[in-house]
Amino acid sequence: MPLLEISGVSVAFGGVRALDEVTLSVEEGQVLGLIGPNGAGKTTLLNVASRFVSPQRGDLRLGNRSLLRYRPDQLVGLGVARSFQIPQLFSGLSVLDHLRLAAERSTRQRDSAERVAREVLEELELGEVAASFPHLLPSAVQKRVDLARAVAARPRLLLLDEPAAGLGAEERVSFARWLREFRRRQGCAVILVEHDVELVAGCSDRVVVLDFGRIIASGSPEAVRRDPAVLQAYLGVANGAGA
Amino acid sequence: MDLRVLSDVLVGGLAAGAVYALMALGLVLIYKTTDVVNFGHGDIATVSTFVAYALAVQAGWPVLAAAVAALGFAALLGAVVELGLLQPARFRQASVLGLVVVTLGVGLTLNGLAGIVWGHDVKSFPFLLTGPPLRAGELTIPVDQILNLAAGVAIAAVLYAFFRFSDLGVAMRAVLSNRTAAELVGIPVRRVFALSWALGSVLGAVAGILAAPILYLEPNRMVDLLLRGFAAAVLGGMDSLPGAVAGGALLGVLENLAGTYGSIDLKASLAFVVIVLVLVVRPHGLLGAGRVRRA
Repeated sequence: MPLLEISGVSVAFGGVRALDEVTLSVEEGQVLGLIGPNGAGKTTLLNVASRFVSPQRGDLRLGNRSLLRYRPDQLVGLGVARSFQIPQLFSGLSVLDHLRLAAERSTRQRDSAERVAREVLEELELGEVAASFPHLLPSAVQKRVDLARAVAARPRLLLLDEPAAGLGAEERVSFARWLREFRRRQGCAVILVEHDVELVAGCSDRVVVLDFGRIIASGSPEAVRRDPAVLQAYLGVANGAGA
Repeated sequence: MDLRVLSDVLVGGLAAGAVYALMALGLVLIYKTTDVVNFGHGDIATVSTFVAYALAVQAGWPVLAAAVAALGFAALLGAVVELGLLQPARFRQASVLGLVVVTLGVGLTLNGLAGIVWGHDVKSFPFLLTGPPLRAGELTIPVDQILNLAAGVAIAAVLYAFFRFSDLGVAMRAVLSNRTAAELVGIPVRRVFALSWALGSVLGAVAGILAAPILYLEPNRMVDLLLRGFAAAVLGGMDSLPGAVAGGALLGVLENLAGTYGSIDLKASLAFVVIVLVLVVRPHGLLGAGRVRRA
């Protein structure tokens, strides 16, 4: 049984159809890359999966539970965590407090939460800014704090919305290395939304391509990169080298 | 200038300011958490104070016990307004303006109910503490002013410790700062909203119970106190809890100075002058962060 199963999900904002009968699944421990042009519906799909947006049609199931019965604040308890394209941080709380809050909801014990928070701080090289307020930190570090908070929740399913956007080349390499290692160590399933096709191809087991709210291709990173529909809609027919 | 008069004016102003600050803290807490300006705040305080009156004067309870019970009532009433009215309205996509109108409706309804149950004749409300004034050199401080100051300082300190050190307080700060992110880490935002309404209503009720022995009790008597609470909140910054305390203290002192060295009419209208001036000159108040809007 897949860990997450999204079946026939449709979302419209006014007259704009953001997702149209989208069906996909993610297995335990699998990294699913989700790519597509701007406005393709990638973030909307993550918003549906994290229950910030309710679909007009379709279902999404985590194991044998329909997530439609749950609110966003209940998902951490089910093992779902996410990061945002624009980091959503608490201006009045320290970096350590961010991680502790996330860990408390998953471990339910204060001591364990403190330990988990400090482990994740070290893992993502945030130890030096543990006591800092995140809004005073550079944007690349803020993105890492946003990611670290999701990781501190010890999820079974991690939803990452453009985690490498705005990062330099070296930081992207470092992120890709971390993601591969994290997945190997934690066995956590990941949906990775990213514009950097090389990064997605290097980290994902499977790639799904969205365009105008519909899935136009799905398969291994290599197969997707050769798919004519993808070349047409996303990568550009003339140069299939990447976007 | 007579220094003894000045010191009496300052202490009296701070004592009145402590009550304004409590009123303002309740308004700011609810606004900061839920984005809703609670126009029913004064009427929730009024009805809660009437409950204390009914228990203390009509049922013969000790006044402190009656006050504590009334605070419990205020907490329940605040939570019911949030859970029973505002959350269903939010679920149906009501705008913030719509929610504000709901609070106005709640206030007018409570005001009408208070009139039906307790009538419109002015009632005297017992002092929580009685005793001789405190004398320190030339300074004489009546016991009700000491109580106001002590309550204001103690409640501000308890709130500071609650938000700084308790798990629930940190979770509430997280909701105050970023609601989406708070939901993301599993904080039950709807419950935090209800808690904010309960806590905010208790703060308003404390202000009402402290002010009632001086203002007397009648369904419309708290309007002035609500307006001073608004003025204090606007002066300190609608999104700043320390600002509410500072705004209340400053407004109380300014009013007393204006009443003593200017005219009593100036004292009565100072709160409105403050609201207008602050909104024109410094819209985010003394300590408020302001909100950045994309042009």
